[in-house]
Amino acid sequence: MLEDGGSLSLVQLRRGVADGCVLALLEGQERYGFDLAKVLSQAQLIAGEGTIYPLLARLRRDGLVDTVWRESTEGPPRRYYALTPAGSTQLAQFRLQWTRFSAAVSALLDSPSDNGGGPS
Amino acid sequence: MTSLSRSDMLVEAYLARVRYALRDLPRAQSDSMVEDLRAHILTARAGQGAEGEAAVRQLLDDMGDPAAIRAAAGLPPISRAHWGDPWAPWLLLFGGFVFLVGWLAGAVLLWNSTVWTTREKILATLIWPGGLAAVVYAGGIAVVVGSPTACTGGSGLAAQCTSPPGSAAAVILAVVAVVAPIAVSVHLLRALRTRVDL
Repeated sequence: MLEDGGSLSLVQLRRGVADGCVLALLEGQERYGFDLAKVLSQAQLIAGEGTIYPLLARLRRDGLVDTVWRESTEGPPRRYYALTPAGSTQLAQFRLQWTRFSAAVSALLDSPSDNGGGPS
Repeated sequence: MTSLSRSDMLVEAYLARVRYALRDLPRAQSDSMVEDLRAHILTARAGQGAEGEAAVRQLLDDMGDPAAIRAAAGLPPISRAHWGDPWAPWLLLFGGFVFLVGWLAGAVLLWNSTVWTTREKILATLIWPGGLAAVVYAGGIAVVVGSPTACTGGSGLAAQCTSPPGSAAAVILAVVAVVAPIAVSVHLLRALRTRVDL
């Protein structure tokens, strides 16, 4: 379909960062929404704790996460989120893309004088 | 059950604003999101013992602006009310009397607006094309066609053919025909008042 890296536009990457981080947080352990929201909003990766829920709903629709209700010792049952196989694949891709992206940006930031002065 | 505390009312008001911000999502999706938010707020309040009004306000600030939640749901931002929005319901109702042009202008304003949902727009367009003028016009035809001597199948209102003029059915039909567009326009105006700051 798309060649390696071809699916990676800057816009997609930027929008996908929060998604990727959610997938990373779910790696190896299921979590509930409140927990995810706290971590991501403290890291300032989302614009408010509440915005995690539309994001999670989208990941769920895309089949990247699954949900399951679990009883809670303190209060009503909670909806837990877990990574699906498709989610794991997506996370691996995100890791790769992020590594390349951050390396590219770091390289540019570290040597601003090598970029040329634009068209002249 | 129990009466709502001031903090509870703040939470409900916030959730209502979120629900409104998500109004163009399928109902099941927005319901589920609002329930997720409600559970989140409950958990937060239980966790930090946040029962004071200040604590609840802080908590709601941390939840994020309803507009941000809307954006996270992938919906386009809502633009401000258009100058024509307050006119549309009135033109749809009475504009038909200004030839047909007034009603058409109302329909254009209606469909250009970002305030009303597509469902409301369709409803307001179909009940009735031409507005009250169409009812008056159709009523005139029905009286003529439905006179005791004739009952034509092709024109006039169907009810006129099955019941003599002046019958209860005809009266009910006429009342419904008049009340329906008024009700739709009233709904549009109320929706406008609650949804935007004019």
